[in-house]
Amino acid sequence: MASHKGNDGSIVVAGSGTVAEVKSFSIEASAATAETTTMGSSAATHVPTITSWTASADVQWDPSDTDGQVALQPGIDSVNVKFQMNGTATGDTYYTGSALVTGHSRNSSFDGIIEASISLQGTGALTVGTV
Amino acid sequence: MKMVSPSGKVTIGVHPSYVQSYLNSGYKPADEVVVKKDKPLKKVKNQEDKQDGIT
Repeated sequence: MASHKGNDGSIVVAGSGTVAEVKSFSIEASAATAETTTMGSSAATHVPTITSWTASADVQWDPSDTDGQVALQPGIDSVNVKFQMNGTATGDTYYTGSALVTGHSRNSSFDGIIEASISLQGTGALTVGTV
Repeated sequence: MKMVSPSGKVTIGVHPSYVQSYLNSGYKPADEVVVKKDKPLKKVKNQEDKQDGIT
């Protein structure tokens, strides 16, 4: 069973803008369900209906990252985002989709590095591919 | 409004209330960004041109 390191991951915005200073990101895909249980059933049954996805990223705040962090602000139209999981070499896996930015918070403390958290709401399908 | 990052790599649609913020960050309205075109190739003078006027 193989394991994959996260340090070669990256986030690409709108095709060619790479988000700088990424510490971590997460992607959550889910599916809503509808219950199909009827009288006479002894166990609930469901079917999948609508899929959706969200994502978030934690970065070290960098206001000079105009192609990445600055681009991902609430109030922009949906933008294509690609999450490279383990690198950009041939065969490496990525997840991509169109997303709206639902949050961008900055966190500063006297004894730490200024960080930011970016939240995304997918609009449309999240697709997986390989480089 | 469509806006382009300072590097020209990223184009995003920006809500009107965020346009000023993006302008402050160096973004420019897409319709003001001049698309760079390749320079036209220089005319290569052939031997006949070079000899124009020489008898």
